[in-house]
Amino acid sequence: MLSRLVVKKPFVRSVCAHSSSPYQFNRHHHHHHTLDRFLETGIILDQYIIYSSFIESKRVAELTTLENGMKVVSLSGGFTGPAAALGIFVNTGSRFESQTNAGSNQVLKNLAFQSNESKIYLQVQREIAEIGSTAFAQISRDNLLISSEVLPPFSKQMLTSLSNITNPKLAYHEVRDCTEQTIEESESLEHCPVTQVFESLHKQAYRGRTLGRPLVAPVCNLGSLATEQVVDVANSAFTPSNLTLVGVGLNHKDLVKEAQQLKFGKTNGGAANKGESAKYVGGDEITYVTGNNHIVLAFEGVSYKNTKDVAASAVLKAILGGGSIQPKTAPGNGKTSRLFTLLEKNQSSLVKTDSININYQDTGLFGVYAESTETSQVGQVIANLANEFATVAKSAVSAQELDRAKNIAKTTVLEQTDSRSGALEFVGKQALYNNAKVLTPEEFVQEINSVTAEDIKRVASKMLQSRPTLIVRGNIQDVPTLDQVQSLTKFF
Amino acid sequence: MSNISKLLSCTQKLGVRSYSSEAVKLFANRDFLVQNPETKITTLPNGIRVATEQSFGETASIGVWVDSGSVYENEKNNGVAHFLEHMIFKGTEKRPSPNFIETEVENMGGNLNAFTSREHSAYYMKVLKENIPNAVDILSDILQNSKFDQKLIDDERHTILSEMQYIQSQENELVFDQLHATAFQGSPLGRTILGPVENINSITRNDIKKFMEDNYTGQRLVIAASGAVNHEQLVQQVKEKFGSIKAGDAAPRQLITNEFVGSELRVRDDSIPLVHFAVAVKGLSWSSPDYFVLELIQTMIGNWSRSIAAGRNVSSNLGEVVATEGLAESYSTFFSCYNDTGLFGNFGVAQPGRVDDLVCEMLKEWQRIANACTDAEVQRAKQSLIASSLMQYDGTSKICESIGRQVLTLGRRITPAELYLRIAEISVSDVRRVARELLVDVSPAVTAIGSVENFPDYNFVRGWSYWNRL
Repeated sequence: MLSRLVVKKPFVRSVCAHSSSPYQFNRHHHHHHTLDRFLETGIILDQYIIYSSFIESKRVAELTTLENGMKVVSLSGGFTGPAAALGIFVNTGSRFESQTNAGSNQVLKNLAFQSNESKIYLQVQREIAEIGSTAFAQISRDNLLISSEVLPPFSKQMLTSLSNITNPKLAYHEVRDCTEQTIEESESLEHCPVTQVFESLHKQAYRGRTLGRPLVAPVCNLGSLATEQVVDVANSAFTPSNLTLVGVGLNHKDLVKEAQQLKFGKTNGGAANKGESAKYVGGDEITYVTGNNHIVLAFEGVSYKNTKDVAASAVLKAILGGGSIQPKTAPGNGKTSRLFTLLEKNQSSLVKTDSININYQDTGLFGVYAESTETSQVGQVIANLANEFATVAKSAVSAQELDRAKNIAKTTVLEQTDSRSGALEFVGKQALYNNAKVLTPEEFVQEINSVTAEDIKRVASKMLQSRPTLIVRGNIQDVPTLDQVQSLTKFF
Repeated sequence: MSNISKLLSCTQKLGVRSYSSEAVKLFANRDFLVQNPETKITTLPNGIRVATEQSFGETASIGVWVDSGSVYENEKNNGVAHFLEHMIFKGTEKRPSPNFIETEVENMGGNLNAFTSREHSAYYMKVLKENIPNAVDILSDILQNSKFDQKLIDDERHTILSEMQYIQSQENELVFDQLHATAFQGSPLGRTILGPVENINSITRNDIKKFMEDNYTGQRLVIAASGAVNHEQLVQQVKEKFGSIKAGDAAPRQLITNEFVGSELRVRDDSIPLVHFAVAVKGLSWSSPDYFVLELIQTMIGNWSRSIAAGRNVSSNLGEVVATEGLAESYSTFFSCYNDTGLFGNFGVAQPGRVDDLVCEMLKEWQRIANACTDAEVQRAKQSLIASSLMQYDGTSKICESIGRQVLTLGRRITPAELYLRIAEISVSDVRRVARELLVDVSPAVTAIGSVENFPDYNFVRGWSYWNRL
């Protein structure tokens, strides 16, 4: 019977494929050698379920720019499981907003799965649900991401849905409802200290311009935000040259071909959102609140453009690390890092520490974050944080520490891109930021491999030369001035 | 036509039952289902099973899954399985301190973690491929040569008590502990994983060592790995490092019976503004032939919360009612499996004034599925369940976890193709049959905490579990 089977190589039978099948069926006694119910259809299905046509392949990143200006980037090969990821990065976000249309991109995010020029909202949502896909929209300071996961047979359908989504209808009542929803979201974030601290960090670092515009939609402006303003933002955002289509686990050529046959964006042409380039300024902000203190001390980091420095900053982040006492940090998440060691030494005052490394297209932020107890000495905490950072720049890291940090940085990238959605963001961002070459995670790991102790010192020192940004929420009694902070970190 | 399509169309020609043609209907191209690495399983002489899926790449996840959890404890040592899991990381002869282990793991950029559930304990690592032998060495060392230093045991009591405090501040965790306590009262499953405070304070070094000797035996261990792992090499490494573990017996499952008891446990705490509750029936065990049918019913009843983008346009019937009527902050449908039993039901969070309507709608939906669900909604739910199940194959950590769990509970691995076919073959009559068996005219286990004053009386809930025909 088996000889009838036409199968591709490799075909290997699992050792225990049905020797101990738990699915006990008594209806088919004649299949005495197995209890599996698939034998009802003969041996063929039984072979099918353990048949494997998987072959090893390396991950490959490919980028194509279509005639209309839309970029198509994909990561194929490797192993993505029996599913694929499809997403669209839109070159829009709060960095392009003005005083009058602040918050409009948050509204645009909430409008993603509402009606578009081809389908009404119910169809949009049901079409995605029907094929079992999951999708979400997420807005950042410089991009709107609409991301989905899909089974490969439905990838074309999902692609069509995505193309429709890039041409939203923006009916008055939908904009109104989504603005209401945005107000609720903003209000719920009002009491989230981490969000507030990161808002302040950007606001001060870029002095209210570009990346310093509010990401959390300002409620005071949402009330007067007119539908026309949202339509204007959508019109300039959804042009093909602002779009980057990303596929993970799909054939690049097929994806390009399918994308060419569909209409993406509200217009056929149109310019890309340019905006002014971000200029790091630095500054401080102190806010009185009760409860634990939240503290950020940051400097200008590295931009996405310089791959070598991005790799060095990733290693620097691993050296500083971070962690928390409760929930307990497990080995592999920074237990041996400098900031965790600081936390362990100061358990009575520190609750949580972390290092911050954000890379934007034209700038970046790098720093340290701490949550300390209400009774802790904020000035001392800041001095400790500044000292940890300055030490990395002052004295070379040991070979052992560097090796460890490089290994951690490597596994962090590989772990993130091990999932389909993580891989999608990894390649998508590079294309969005106009990187000349899109690196695979493995290629980026090679960049990490070549980071030296000298690179760490160079990158860290350069960061410390910028004016600090200091944010404190909590006890503001003994916060040092920026000059004082600078004297703590300056050593050249 | 691909080979696989040929295979399936062959079976149609054989004139066999409809599910393969249902399967054909759902997807035109099924090749992607078999582009999955083969699962290789080898049983060593001492009973340890090594199960791998080699998907290549730069990293690998590897873990030890043990058929041992709180269900194998008794009243006196309840909590010891979890305590043991904590103490495993505290040092061996070769690796004398917790710090030594942590540094070794971080030096290679790996991570190491563990969990204990009611039936299982797992210890797992994620490492770069060149460090796999090292990972096997660390896992084998901590699982065989842990010192269980008395001073560190005493220190750990504090950590476990603060973990307990954390869990008790999470209402959803509390509801599920309470649900087990009432549904499986008098049975091992009714106890908590962390154990009572008295036990955490009194568990001795001997208790821990004895529990480990009794339960961590070859027949009850599965070593699972996914990613850049070569099966033959791993088998060899495991033979070397775990070969001396004695075989012991299979888990004494036949000695454990977990009787489901229809009952109620409510804790009134008016300082909590909402009601957090669960209504559950006896579900199915891991190896039930109807496992996937119940998963499908779970999909049909669905989940909803205020924050989901679809709002009232969700595809589940109950979700739509809840959203339109504003009955809940959130609800979910759970299906917990055990070796000899299971729990199936709804969990909800609601305003005190809406909770009775919410519970009523939930049980009404169970009855509707048992009596009147339609072919269209079953097909839609199948599509969604197939997709969400297949999407679980996402990254080596998740895959390794699922290999370990399946080999431990089923003795084998379910491939994407099997998963697909098992779901694709389900028909409306299967759904109605299983729903009638489990969800109709039953005495559920009910539990609630928070502002429970308006939570419906048990007999009401019991009464909503059937429809009268007039």
